[in-house]
Amino acid sequence: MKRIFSGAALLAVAWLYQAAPAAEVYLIGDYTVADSPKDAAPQAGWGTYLAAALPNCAPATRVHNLAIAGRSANATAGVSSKSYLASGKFAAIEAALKPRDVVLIAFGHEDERSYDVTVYTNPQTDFPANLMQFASAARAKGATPVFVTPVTRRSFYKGALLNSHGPYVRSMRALAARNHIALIDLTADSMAWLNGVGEAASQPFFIAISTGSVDAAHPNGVRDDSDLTEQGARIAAGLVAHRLAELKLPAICTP
Amino acid sequence: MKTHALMPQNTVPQILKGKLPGDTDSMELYTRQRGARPVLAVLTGIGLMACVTSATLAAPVGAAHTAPTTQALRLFVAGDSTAATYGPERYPQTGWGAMLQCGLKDVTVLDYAKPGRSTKSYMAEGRLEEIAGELKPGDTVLISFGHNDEKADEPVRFTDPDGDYRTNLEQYIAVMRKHGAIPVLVTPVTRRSFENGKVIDTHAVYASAMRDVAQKTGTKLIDLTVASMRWLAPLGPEKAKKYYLYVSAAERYPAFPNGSVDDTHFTELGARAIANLVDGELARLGLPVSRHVLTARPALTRPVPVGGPFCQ
Repeated sequence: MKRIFSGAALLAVAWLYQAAPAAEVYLIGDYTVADSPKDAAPQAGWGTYLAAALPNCAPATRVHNLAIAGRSANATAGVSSKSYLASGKFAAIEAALKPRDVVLIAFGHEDERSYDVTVYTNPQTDFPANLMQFASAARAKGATPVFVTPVTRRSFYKGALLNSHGPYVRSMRALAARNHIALIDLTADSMAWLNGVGEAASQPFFIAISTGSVDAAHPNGVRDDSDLTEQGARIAAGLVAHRLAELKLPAICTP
Repeated sequence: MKTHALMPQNTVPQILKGKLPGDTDSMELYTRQRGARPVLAVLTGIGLMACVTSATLAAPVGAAHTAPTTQALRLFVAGDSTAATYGPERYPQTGWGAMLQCGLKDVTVLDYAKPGRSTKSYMAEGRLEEIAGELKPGDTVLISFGHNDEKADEPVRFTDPDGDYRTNLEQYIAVMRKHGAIPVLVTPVTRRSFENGKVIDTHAVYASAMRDVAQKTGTKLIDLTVASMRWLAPLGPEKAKKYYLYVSAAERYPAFPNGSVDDTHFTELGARAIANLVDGELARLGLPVSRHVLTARPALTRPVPVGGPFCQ
């Protein structure tokens, strides 16, 4: 009797998996995640390469990279949690969400731009409120929200890698812990990776842009290496894919 | 003010000439980059011109030149572009440090604020040591940073508001106290950052970190973030433009041949208004310098610009 029951249960589970429509993975975030517009080359976003970094899971899973590049030649800043919400793009995603879908939420990078109120968010108030808005909407549809902390910049100062996303990363981590939301700590993983590679050897993974800031210790200026090259974006995608697989979400890696 | 002879000696704030290695965004370089001509031509009146020129040439580093008496109190300013003193070639850009003098009596203001600096880059360039070398017991030092500490994509300037921003400020305080001087923390002045008619506090985390440091170290604090937001809110976004560096090309300022749209820096009137707030707060701190703040500060509340950082 027991055997028959478990056999039936197995069949039921198998049927459910077959019947359930393919799970979707949605990525929302800024230009470090987004598919890069042609005029931004060689800049690349890690979201572009996420599906390729999930070779064993990809067939059943469709990855939609809906991060917004928003960094054209004229823009002073990209897209933050605030301007993403304002864009209306999330409302469309929300309408399409269904149970078992996964929403990767990757903001922080542009929320830091305190000189531009269209993107700036206070890391202690607006930023977590916006993140929670994305997460709650996903949960309400039976989808799984996953926070992804921002990929590090290649910001070495006197040989040490700075965590220039500090307040935003800490805020996202705390919010995830408080609300039991899955978190991929890409900041920590990418900093560990960059520290391992070292300042000089990590150069090909980022695009060096002169900030124009010079001091006595750095007479030739210090470069802001915020933008990933394709090589860097592929590595960041690999870091995310590795952690995503660890979360064992059915939508990502079915048994 | 028609001739230099009529101008009281203490009406012109100090213009510091000291330069340190790496002082690359000094006015000289800025002028070269922009290819700007001297601004003197746009200033009205030969007398004013002579006044500006001689003041610029005659003001050395140090207190002797403008000190009304040898016992005058001294007020130092360590800060960034919003507080810095600019030469006439940058007019109408004016920093609030350059205007403080106009609300004080028998106090010598020494403005060591430098454009573009954060707590970190200011120290890295040896500027904290430079001030320390000048300090005497009883001096007061205003410490105002934040605008550039926020620049997350610039490793030379960025500081973490939960990390080195705090420890740097603590170091400034310790250095001042070691020299017998009185440190006063000044939270960053607000930007012209309106959204739906409301002022957005874009310095929030840095300002609150500074408040914490003030409390933990028992340091006097001027909450310029709050004071300036309260000043800005009733003005509204449009009226605020004459205080921030909104300049049209038609005004033909050599420093701004294409005009300027700048929500961070101040015009002469803006610097006067902010200096008025700082002096007003200074009066309430119960420090020796507090009793030297003028009750009426008409030079800081005047509705029409003069053409330079003059106390009139």
